[in-house]
Amino acid sequence: MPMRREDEAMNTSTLPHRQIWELIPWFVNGSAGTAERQTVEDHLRQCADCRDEYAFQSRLRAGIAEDGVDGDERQAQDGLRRLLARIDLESDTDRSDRTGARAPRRQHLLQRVLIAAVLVQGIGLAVLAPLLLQREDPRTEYRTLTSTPTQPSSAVIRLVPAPTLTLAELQAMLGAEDLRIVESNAGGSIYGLAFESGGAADATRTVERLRAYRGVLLAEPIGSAASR
Amino acid sequence: MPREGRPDTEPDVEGGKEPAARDLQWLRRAGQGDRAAFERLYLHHYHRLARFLARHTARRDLVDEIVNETMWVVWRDANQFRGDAKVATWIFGIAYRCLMKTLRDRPVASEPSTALSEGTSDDAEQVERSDWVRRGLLALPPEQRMTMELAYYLGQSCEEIAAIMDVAVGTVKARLFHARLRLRNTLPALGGEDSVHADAARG
Repeated sequence: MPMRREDEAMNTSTLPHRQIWELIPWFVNGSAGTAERQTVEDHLRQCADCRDEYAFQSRLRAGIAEDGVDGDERQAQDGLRRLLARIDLESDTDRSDRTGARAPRRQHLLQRVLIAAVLVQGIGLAVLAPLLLQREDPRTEYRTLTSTPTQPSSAVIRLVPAPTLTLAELQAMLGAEDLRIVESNAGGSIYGLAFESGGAADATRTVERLRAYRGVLLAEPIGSAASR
Repeated sequence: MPREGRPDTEPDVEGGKEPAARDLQWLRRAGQGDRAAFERLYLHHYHRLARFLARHTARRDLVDEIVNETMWVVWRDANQFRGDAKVATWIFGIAYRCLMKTLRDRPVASEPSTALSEGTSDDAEQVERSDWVRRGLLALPPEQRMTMELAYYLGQSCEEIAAIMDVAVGTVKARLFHARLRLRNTLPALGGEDSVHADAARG
């Protein structure tokens, strides 16, 4: 930065020239703040070199402002017309894109949901499978009345009544033969009977008598009674 | 780009003397889909944008293309303007980025206009000064030329130029400093007698 000795001596208490030099463009273009303006003005009053720089920058600014080729009004209107046409075009495209893209987007979302569901199921199975395999729930075992029960049954006679047998007839028959129902299948169509007295009466004879009742499809001894 | 219209509650400043407030009102209305406000914003900034861009490419078609690309972004993103800077600063920032992208994609376009002044002025001194300035600016690297243009033609502050060019304030100061040094050497005619004196004192 150029600096005369007398200026240097005079400006020892002011900002260095470099700082003033940096502020001059903003002073020239009017964007400097009040304090900066005051600083520059104070310095320019004392410093001929910076006044010279200020004059040079002012002429430069004027030259730049005067130079250059502005577009004419017709060019501006033409440009605006082209841009508005583009805005209309892209607006239509955007609208149609949004309409067209809705279905694929929905499909995409559905795919993601399904994939997530499969993953959750897979994880669930992986966690539960070992537990289910280790677990032995006797309630889940399949049993028939002909299979040997895990718990010893007290039934000695298996009875299959006809669907036409009424409840009153069944009760009368069981009462007459001193029997009670101790087992039944899920549908209530096959009964396991035991003697009411709990004793081991002659099951074979009782079975024969039961077979003589109207409405009895099947009567047979089971368990220990069958082996007698 | 259809937008929902909303009642305008901003004060009417179009007839006022505050360009920044007027720009902001136009931009806000454009953000609501007001084509008329957008047209005013476009026409108001067209000439300054065109001139700013013409410093960096001699191709008039490219200048128009970049202006429209810039204003397309302005229309599209009008609702995203946060108001941290002046609308003009925001627009010139977009223009700067569009210009840089164009010059990167098409380096052949980067030759600036060397057209002489159109002689509309009777002031021979003014014409001569303009020609000197143009030659001086052409000798500068693009970043320095752009910084000079933003400061001395558009009157942007140091902080605004930093925002437009997306650089630090210190970078703006450094670019301007070096540009001025170089112009001092290439434009002695602008310096006048004081300049000759200063050069002699410097030398």
